[in-house]
Amino acid sequence: MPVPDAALAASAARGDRDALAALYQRHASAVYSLARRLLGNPSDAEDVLQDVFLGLTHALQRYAEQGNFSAWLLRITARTALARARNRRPADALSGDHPQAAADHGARMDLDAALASLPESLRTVFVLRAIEGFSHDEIATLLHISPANAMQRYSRACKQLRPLLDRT
Amino acid sequence: MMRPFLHPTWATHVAYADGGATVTTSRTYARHIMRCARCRATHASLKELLALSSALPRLAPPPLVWSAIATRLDAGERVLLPPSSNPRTRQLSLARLASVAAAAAAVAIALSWPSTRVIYAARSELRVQPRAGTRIVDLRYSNPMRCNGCSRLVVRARWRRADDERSSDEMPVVSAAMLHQDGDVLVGSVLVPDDAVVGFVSLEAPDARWTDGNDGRAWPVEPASAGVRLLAVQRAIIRDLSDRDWEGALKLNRALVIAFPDSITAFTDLVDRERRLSHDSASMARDRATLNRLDAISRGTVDSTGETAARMFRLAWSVLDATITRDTSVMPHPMRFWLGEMVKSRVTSPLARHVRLLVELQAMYDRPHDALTRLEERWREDSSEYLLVSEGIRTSRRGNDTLAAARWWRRLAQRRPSTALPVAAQLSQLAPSRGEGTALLRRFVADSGAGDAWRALGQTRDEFRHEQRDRVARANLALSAALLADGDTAGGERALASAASASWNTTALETLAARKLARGDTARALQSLAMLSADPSRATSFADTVRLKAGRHYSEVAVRQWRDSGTTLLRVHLLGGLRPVMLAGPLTPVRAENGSDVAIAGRTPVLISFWSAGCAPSLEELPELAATLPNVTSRGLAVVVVSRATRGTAGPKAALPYMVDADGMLHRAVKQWMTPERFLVMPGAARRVWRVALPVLELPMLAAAIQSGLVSSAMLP
Repeated sequence: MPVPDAALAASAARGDRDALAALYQRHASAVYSLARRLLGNPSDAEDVLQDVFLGLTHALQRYAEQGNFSAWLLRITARTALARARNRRPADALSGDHPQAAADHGARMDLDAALASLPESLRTVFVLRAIEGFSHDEIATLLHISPANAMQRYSRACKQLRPLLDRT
Repeated sequence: MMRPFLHPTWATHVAYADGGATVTTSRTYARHIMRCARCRATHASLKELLALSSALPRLAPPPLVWSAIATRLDAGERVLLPPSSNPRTRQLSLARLASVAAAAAAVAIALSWPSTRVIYAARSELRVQPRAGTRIVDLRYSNPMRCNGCSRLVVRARWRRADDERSSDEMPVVSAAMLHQDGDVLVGSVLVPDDAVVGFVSLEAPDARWTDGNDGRAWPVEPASAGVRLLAVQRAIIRDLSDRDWEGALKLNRALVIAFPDSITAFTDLVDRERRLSHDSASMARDRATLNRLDAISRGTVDSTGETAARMFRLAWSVLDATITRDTSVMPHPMRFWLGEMVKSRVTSPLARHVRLLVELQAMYDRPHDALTRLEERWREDSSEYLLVSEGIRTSRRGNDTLAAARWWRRLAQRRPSTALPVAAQLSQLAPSRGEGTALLRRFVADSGAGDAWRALGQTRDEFRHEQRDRVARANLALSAALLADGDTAGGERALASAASASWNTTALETLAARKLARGDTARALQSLAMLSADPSRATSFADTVRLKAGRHYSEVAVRQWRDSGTTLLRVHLLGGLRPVMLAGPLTPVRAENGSDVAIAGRTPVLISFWSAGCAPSLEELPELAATLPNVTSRGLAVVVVSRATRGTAGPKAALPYMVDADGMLHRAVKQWMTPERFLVMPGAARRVWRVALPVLELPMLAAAIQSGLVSSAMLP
């Protein structure tokens, strides 16, 4: 039976490298996917992935065991990625290849392509809400905006994505 | 709010597809897209977009990233990550930190698990894509509800972690999934964390605002041994609600008492909650009944821990507040009995601490200021106890210490944001805090439609707007009382007028009229009373009021003016609640099957009320309808209740004229598709039919208006 996340997190918090590696195996793709879709750039996403797991041992000291570990980790990832997005130069944004470049085809990849064409403020909200399932309140907290604004951005993102998706 | 005859805005499309629309909007939206192909297509494409988004695969990280991380870790490199939530900007005192930490621990599960999300799905979408750390639990509900208008059902599941008994009381509503009806069985699935044990499921129909007709009983998905104690789970739901929605919590608690009639905890919770919500409405008879009920329940209970006795004592303290004295020998019998029971056994819960404090306070009965000092000490030790607040308010009132009372009221508002309005009203009545209370009320009135007021009350913005008028009226009423007490007559009357216009508040109208009459301003008094006369049950009494109170200012002209304006208001109100229906087929003769002489072909107008045995609102309305029936039929309006199936007709058969429309002819003729729904059939060859959107309580008014000719076929739209 697999070791629960909470047990691994407790071990990792004590500095157990194997436990951290196990957590990486389980959650690296979720962290990387979220970072890449938020930042639109594979190298930034990789940096976020590294930063998250480098700081995880320390951050786990603050982790209360009652919660769901993966949701907690994704919130931290979102905050780290958004902080990076705020600090980078505008030219850096979306400079890399997008998921669709590596890709094959199909509606899922088309959606990634459509997502990449959205303005960052709308893409962030859409990724957090529609793909990662964050609530509007959580998004508002992460982005320092009001829930109403989060809903408005989400609505605008849907409006812009729909024709793009139809075209692709 | 969305209007059914207009196309929805894009934001409404998104809110509905995303599961974030209010119940009212969802209902209107669902009706609209059934009829509008364009909006249906928009909805379908949005659903497709959101389904595609939620099914996007995880992207694999580049290889060798872990090696890079390990190397950097070996080099001693550290990165400081941001916290998972925003740090609080408000400074917390040390004394509050402990309670904040405790509260944070209590809600940690709610915050860290995936957020609630209602998925309106088709059959093919029932399978939710599991995320990392989650699994799918299949549901099979063998007692499905039937509701003609409810095409969608939503399941909400609650659980605890498999290895943690303690968290069973803190389970949040964390996920929702769709059920699909398959014959008589509902099947579906729900996404839960890996280590969760599903313990409780409830069903809702977002279109029709009802929940499962399961009489409040919990439905275990897994065998009871693997699940949690059902009563505990339901209490946890209520506790979740009680910090933000007192009325909702109270309603659920009442259902719980019906579901678990022998449960002391459910009953004492209910009594406790009712008393907290409305201290003033308690009567001695109700208190006596409560104590008798407690006695009866406790006699059949074996409890070696003394837990029950402690609960009873605490509750009796609350119920018998007025009769508590310093002398233990004259302490009311139930309290003495339960205190003795508690002392005999060993109480292990925090309740024991509460009870010790209550006994300590009793010893200081004649020294309320000492009691207040003791309560302050306890507050400094632990400010998370509601008991301290309620005792603080009560004791400061007994000691006539208005400064302390204001302080404890403020603490109540801090503990429970939903009490902001009543607390502001209380503060405005206490001399030392009258200015503060008045300012709070003014701000409440000014800000009630904007800003974050809705969030402070734990409501959505739409829900807030829905109840806003009533709250503004109450705030204005309290404000007027404070201003009048302060000698600001003009300001007080302005606030009264605002209260009256905000929600047709009868108390405000009466008070305003009484003040105008006292000042001799008969015309304005009549204006206020005319608004009240739209309620026929009050019309006569107000006519008398006018005659008596107006005294020398009474005149025939004034009374005629009052009557005219009253009838106009009534007519406008009633006509606004009737919508014409284009018949889709002939109206077959309708005759009630239980001996009544209701017949559409007759000369009397008929009210047809459609209902369904599986529709909770229908079932809730039937007793109301039965209670109103004599007042309706005595005014010449016949009533018949109609359902499509014979199932569950025993209740209505006993109380109301009923018929079964087995072949659906009548349903099709009036295009009825949602229950409950009422139609008015007026006599005459044309057989004109109107959909009635008036509440049951206004049906006697409608009947009276038809009888008196105030409303007739010719006037109807």
